[in-house]
Amino acid sequence: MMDKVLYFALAAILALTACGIRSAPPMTPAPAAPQTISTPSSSIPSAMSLGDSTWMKVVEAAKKEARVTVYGSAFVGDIGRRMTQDFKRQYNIELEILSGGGNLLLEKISTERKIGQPIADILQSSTGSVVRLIKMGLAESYAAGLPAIRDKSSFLLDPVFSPGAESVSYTSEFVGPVMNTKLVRPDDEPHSYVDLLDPKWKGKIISVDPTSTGGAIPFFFTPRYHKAVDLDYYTRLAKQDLRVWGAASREAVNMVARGEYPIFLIMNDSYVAFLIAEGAPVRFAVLKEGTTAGTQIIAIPKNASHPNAARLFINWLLSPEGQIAYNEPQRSKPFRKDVPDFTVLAGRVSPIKLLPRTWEAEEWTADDMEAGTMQKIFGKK
Amino acid sequence: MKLHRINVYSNILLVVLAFLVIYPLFMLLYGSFNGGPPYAAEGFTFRGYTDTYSKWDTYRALYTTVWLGVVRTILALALAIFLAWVVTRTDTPGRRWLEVSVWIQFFMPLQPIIMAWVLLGSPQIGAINQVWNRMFPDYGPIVNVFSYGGIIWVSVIQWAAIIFILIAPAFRAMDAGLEESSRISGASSFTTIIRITLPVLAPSLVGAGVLAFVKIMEGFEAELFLGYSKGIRVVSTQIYNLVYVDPPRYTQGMALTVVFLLVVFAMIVLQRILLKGRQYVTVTGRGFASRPIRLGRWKYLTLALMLVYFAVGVVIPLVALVVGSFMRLFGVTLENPWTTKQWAAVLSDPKFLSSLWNSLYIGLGAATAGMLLYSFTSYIITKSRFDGARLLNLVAWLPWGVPAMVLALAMLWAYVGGLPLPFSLYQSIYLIMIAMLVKGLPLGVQVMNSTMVQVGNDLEESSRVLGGSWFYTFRRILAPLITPAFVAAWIILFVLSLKDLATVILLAGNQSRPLAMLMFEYWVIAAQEEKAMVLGLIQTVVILAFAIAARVIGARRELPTSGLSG
Repeated sequence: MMDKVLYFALAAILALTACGIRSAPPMTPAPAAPQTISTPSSSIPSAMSLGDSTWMKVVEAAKKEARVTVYGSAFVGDIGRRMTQDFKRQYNIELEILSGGGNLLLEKISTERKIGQPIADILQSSTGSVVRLIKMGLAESYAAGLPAIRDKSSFLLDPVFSPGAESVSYTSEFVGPVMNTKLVRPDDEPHSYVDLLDPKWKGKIISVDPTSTGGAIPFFFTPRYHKAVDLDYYTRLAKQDLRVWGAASREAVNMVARGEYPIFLIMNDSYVAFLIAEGAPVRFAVLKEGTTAGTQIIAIPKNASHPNAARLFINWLLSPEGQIAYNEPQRSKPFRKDVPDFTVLAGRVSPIKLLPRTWEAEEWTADDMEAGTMQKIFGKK
Repeated sequence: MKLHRINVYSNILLVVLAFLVIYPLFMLLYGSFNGGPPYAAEGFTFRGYTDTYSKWDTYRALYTTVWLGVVRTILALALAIFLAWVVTRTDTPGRRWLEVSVWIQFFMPLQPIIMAWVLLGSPQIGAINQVWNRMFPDYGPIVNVFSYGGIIWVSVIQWAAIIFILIAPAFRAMDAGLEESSRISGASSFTTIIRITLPVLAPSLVGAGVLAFVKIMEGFEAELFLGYSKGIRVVSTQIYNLVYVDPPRYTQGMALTVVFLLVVFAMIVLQRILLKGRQYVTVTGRGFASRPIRLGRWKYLTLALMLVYFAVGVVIPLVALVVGSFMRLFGVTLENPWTTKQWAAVLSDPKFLSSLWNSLYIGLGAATAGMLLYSFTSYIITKSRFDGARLLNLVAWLPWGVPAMVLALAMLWAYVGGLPLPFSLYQSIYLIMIAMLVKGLPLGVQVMNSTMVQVGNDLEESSRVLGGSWFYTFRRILAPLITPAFVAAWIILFVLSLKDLATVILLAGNQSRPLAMLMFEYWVIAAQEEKAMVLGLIQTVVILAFAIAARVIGARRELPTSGLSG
């Protein structure tokens, strides 16, 4: 008797599951988009631009939606609180922020799509998961019509678009090595990628996993794309016995600030400036071959519940008001020229040469990652 | 209760547990053979297994996981047995307060404890090494927390507290007459412990040891923070990497998880072999005494050892938590390091109160509903003649073999993405409760099993012979006897539900965000450890308050021990 009941129940569960699996919408990548570097003025068709009256309709619709939910990792703590307050004050729209790693948030968006219950209106990441969302064909095209970026001369760096205008960048950070000034004497400071190969740093450099998408790109992929360094450089770097940090990058920088390690390879200058403002003995290292531009990008998943509020929020984030709300709490450098620089003097960085994060560079990185080049050198995952 | 009615209830229970446990595990197995993303049936593949098990790194991680697991379990079990023996069976002064300290250790969040040990035991900045270097400048650092030793140290302190909590009720319920008989027969205290105390308590000790062994192997915080940068790889950090770090490799992650399920099967078999033919009953109708052993002068040694544990397990992490919560940058030497702004920021965060409320809702719901389910399950397993009792026990064990982060994925795939339900559980507090209930099933059932088997059937049979109904017998005989274990397990599950991060991080949303997730957002995403420590302290105090309340309520339900011995 017992066996029959159990078997029946299990069979029913498995049958229902099979139905659920079969009815799943495809999550395969969309057909490849044309591979061009895009900028607001060059690649977005003018027919896609929104006029003022159309934009006003977006604003009105956004106010009716009254809510927007952002999935990402950048708007946490004091930053998120300030943005929530300022956005609400300006538009009377609730800003909800759910923080987490890119992969985790993308998993949530996939689930929401599967069950037809979209909650995320916006996905933010340092390229990795937003690029995956776009490549899966699950991102809305929205960026072309944003009034805040019509005049690209307002920005310190060109906003980076995906070819279909499914994402836009909103930061002007630089990413590179950070060092503890008590452990690295001025004479020993690295000024070049090659300086990091000095035997004195063997076993003393901490890094994110060179094979992970999010954190590793600015140091292990972008410089190679721009030919600032070649593959042989990384082969030699692997012999430096890098200490691979498995948890969040900022934790590793905090370890450098405490004096646990002298150098961490990949951190944005904004967070370094924040630590300097608090009095921590750290400094950002400017390398002569080039410093990678840190690119935080933002996308709207297809079928979002509050698509107009999402557009309005992103436009606001790129406006002077949004840039102040985002940068002032973390004392970082805004994306716009017409907004004060909140970094302390010692934390400001002037790269000798900038290695931009273009869409082409991201596509190249994704292909290279698929080919497992770094895995072959560093042997992880 | 009539036999056929028990069988009906037992079958219903088996179906419910199958739905709660086997169905998500089926999704996990499906994931290990599915070539594509989770919600797309991309075709059957062995790629996950061939990719994973053709790598030398996998076997190296497996080897490290097993030996680290064995060493840590043995040490934690030995320490827990010592603590439990001192607290429950001896006249060591202040033993009740020492018991409270063990509980407080269990209540504290793990990450700040790890950070505290980094500040003490780091070879570069650790306070212990700084002092050592001043005394002996010619020698290198004396301790290094970033090592196998560091991982073992942190885990043993943590797990000794958990095992203590699991085995203390059994120690307490043991008839002191057995030990007294041994000593009257001329055996020394040590011989009595080895020949009487430990064998009598074997089911409880083996059960707790097996539970701890599996979970110690699945733990990943200490391994990630203290071992990863030194090249130490264990299966749990590999799974974390495959499932949570971009780009994801679900198929391989699921294939690697299957190893833990096999380990659980092996542990169940081992437990059966170890306990075969043993007599467990220590609470019978003939009454028992629980007088403490008089240690004489030795009681000062046990007191000193307990104080060392108190300092290491409670004082150091608690001081680190309090100090850290008032620092501008945790652990960094600054000219003006102190501030109250972290407390002000956390207490004024609008997410704080809602997160606290969500945590309490999840903890109270999962622990209470869970303990009722686990107690009934345990009753069927240990006291009924239900044909499927063994199968029920096996099903109750299975979730233990699934790391929390993978269990959360399996729950999401099963109850949100897999099954067409008339209502949505996505990001709801109820899905988190269900996940906690499933996660706590093995522990809850095993705690209740180890207590139920100690209660002899003669007590119940006497009541029934005298005309007591099943319910009357349960209420007046069995319930009071199992209440201490019930309360202890409730507190454990409540605490584990509040502390859990790996499960909630995937299942929670903005409206269901618990305190642990808010702490994670501060700690990991924003790297504001100081604010996370404020939350860690608040969480510890809240848990302590509820645990005290539970003990007070539970104590009213307990029968005084002397009442049974008359």
